[in-house]
Amino acid sequence: MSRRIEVEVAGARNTFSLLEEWAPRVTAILWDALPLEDQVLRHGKLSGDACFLVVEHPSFTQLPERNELAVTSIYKGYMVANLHPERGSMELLISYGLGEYRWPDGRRYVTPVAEIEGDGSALYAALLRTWNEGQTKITLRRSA
Amino acid sequence: MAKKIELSLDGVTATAVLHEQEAPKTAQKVWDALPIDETLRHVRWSGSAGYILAPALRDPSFPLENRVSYYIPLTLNLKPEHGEVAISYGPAQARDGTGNGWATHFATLEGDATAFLEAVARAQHEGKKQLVIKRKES
Amino acid sequence: MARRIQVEVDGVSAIAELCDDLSPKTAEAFWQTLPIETTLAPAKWSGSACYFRPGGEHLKTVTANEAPVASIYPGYIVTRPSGSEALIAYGASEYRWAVGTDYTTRVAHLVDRGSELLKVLARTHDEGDKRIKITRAQ
Repeated sequence: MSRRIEVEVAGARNTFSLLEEWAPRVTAILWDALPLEDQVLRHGKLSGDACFLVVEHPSFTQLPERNELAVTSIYKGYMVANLHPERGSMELLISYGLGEYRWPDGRRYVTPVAEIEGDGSALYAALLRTWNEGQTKITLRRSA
Repeated sequence: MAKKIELSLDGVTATAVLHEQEAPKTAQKVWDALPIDETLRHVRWSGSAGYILAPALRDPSFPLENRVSYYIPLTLNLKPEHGEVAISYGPAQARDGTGNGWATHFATLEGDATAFLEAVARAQHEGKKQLVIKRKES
Repeated sequence: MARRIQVEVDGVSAIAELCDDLSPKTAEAFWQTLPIETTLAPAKWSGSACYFRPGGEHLKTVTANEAPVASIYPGYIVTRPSGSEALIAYGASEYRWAVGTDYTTRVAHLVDRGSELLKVLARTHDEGDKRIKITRAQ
């Protein structure tokens, strides 16, 4: 059974299961770095219905250079990661609708790392609010 | 006289000429590695082609020569970083999960290779087959 | 609760949930097309995926993608507009043609990410075509 993490945004809380079958190394490194508390969460500019946070951790220098499962589409309710081992950082995105990871020069590839469990309505609403209201805070922690 | 190789697949044989002028290092590397006896499977990203993985041809630092991205039908193309030889029977391109890539076009089938290419194509629906490549003695 | 279907290949079954929320028209048309029993073949442009032709008339009426995606996550079933083909991914997969990447509609996804069915689908790379049977789950 996959390990679970808890994601909290502006009081909305959901459990996500880590996609260990798809990205064993990245999910293991992410798990070891938790908790990541009160991180800045912003709405994306180019990737559609998705918010992002950039997290740094010493262990992120061990992230693989290549995506373990490369995708451009960010499915609703999924968390994906853009890996920067050279900087010891990871950009995480969560989609609340239709999302695709893009830069000004086009689509780029990321690794799916977690999938929401249960009803994500409140979390999706909190993510959507950043579009009009600006950045908020997000906490990722291991689920009890 | 150009060196030639013989390929056998599913009971069918074809001859290919090595492009020693256009891809001298690769042609020599392939010649030195023969005979090769490996499993041929249909590609999953690159279109109308079959491929083998030949450990003797795998060298991530080996340079590309006679670079191609599209695989023209009848051609043999090497991706040295994987030791992958792709044989195209239709529209095909050196692709992987994250996009388009490059390979060395090092040989081309000659004569009527229709039956051989049909055998390559059949790998998609029939499954893997055994490909043997050896030097064709003149 | 999402409607469920049963997908069977080579004697191995798995339950999938329809993407009724994401793709209501396509999911309904797919539901109406069931049961489906047809050839499942390995993809040659889209990576670690297999394709089949759902048939029937219902999917022909859905001529536009709903919530379009290019990436096909493992365990997801997708169809192209008008339903001429459907794919199910067992690993890294992106909907592609000879001319490049295209978009598709998610129809259903396996409930169990670690399903044994994915291993059966992966075997098509070595074994070629199989038969797929999709029915409404009780």
